[in-house]
Amino acid sequence: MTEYNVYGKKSYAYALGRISGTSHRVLRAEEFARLREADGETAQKLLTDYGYPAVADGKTVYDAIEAEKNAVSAFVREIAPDEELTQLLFFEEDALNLKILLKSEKLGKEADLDTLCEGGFSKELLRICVKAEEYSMLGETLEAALSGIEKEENPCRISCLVDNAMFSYALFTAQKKNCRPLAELFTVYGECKNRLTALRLTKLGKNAEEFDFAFLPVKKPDEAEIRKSEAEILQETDKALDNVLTDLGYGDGIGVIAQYYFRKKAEAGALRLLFAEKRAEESRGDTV
Amino acid sequence: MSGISIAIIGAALCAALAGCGSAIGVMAAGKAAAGVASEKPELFGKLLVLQALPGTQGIYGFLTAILIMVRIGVLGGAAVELSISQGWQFFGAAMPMAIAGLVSGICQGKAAVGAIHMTGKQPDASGKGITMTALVETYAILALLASILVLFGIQL
Repeated sequence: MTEYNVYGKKSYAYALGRISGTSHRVLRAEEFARLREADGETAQKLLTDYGYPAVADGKTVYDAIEAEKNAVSAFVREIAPDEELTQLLFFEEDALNLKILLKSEKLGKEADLDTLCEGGFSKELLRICVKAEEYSMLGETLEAALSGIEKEENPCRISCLVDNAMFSYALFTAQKKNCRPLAELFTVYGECKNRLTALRLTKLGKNAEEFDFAFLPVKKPDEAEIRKSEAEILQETDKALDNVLTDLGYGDGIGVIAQYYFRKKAEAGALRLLFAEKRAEESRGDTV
Repeated sequence: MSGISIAIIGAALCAALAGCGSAIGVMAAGKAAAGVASEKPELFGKLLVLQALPGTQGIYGFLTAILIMVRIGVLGGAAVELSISQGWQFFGAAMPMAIAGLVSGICQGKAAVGAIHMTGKQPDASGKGITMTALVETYAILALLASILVLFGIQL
């Protein structure tokens, strides 16, 4: 499809039209409730009815969920008019790819690029950067954040540094390009992640100050927020993310594309959890 | 400037501004409709109606311009001798349709884009979308009526 390239400029109206009509739609709450109530096999059939790929022989429902996620990612890349902004949506995938490549390098093994997910940066470019221990090709922000990472030995620190670098790159680029919807989304996302990080540290009995590197460069939770119960924190972070995504949906630009992609990504995570629960329930039933 | 020139400028603006409003509205709706149709080609008929709705302002503007030109005799007869005051009266008669046509064409286009996205998500809701988009039309029709009433109220 290239018709949307009118006068050399891709159109958001066209892109949003394609999202409205796409078969890779976001599941509705009642459809999700039906999946939750059904047994494993019925839920799998329902998922196919809702537009997910059928589970092929020798494959699992998780492969179908992954295939749908990849299709959505390819769809977003195809329709989005601004390539640089679209690339920012994949900062989590980039962080994951970079971590895998760094880990492989540390272990002295060659990473299989086919097993990496599609991110904003090319997998080959990331591989070259890791091999050369040189990140200038990823831009100034990432070069500054990642230089010297290969000397780091603590895996937890490496993981946090990479997450931090990719998140900072996404947030600063959105701010630099004056893209308010993405800047707002990333800020709320970062704040929610920081609250969850603080919760994890509290649960592990660790001091948050010792793990300052684990926090993203946005507002950190204050004492009152940290003291809240786990359920409250989880509920509030879910609500904050949901609110910002809902607001993005009222726009008519990259915000709607970001909303669609983040909702589909959250849907994939929720479905994986749902089917894992069902499998665990069924295996418990078999044992009894 | 003579009265007839002022009247002709009014007629030209009426056709041009309302036409521009419609063109912008139809373009916005067309882009959205193309997006939806590339995913669901079977919705083409429903989408076409929604895309066409913002086009009516252009027709109303054109109609008003024709009526002005007929009244001042530029079309189908000898041109009437108009005073400057009468010229401005014709110009004023053209303005409701010119301005409302431009603005309502663009606004109806935006409403049509929303309705097209809704049709993409829920094809059965296209009727509701048409109704919602058509409501914007009310103001273009009122402007057309105002223009026609003023136009035929001008004493020659």
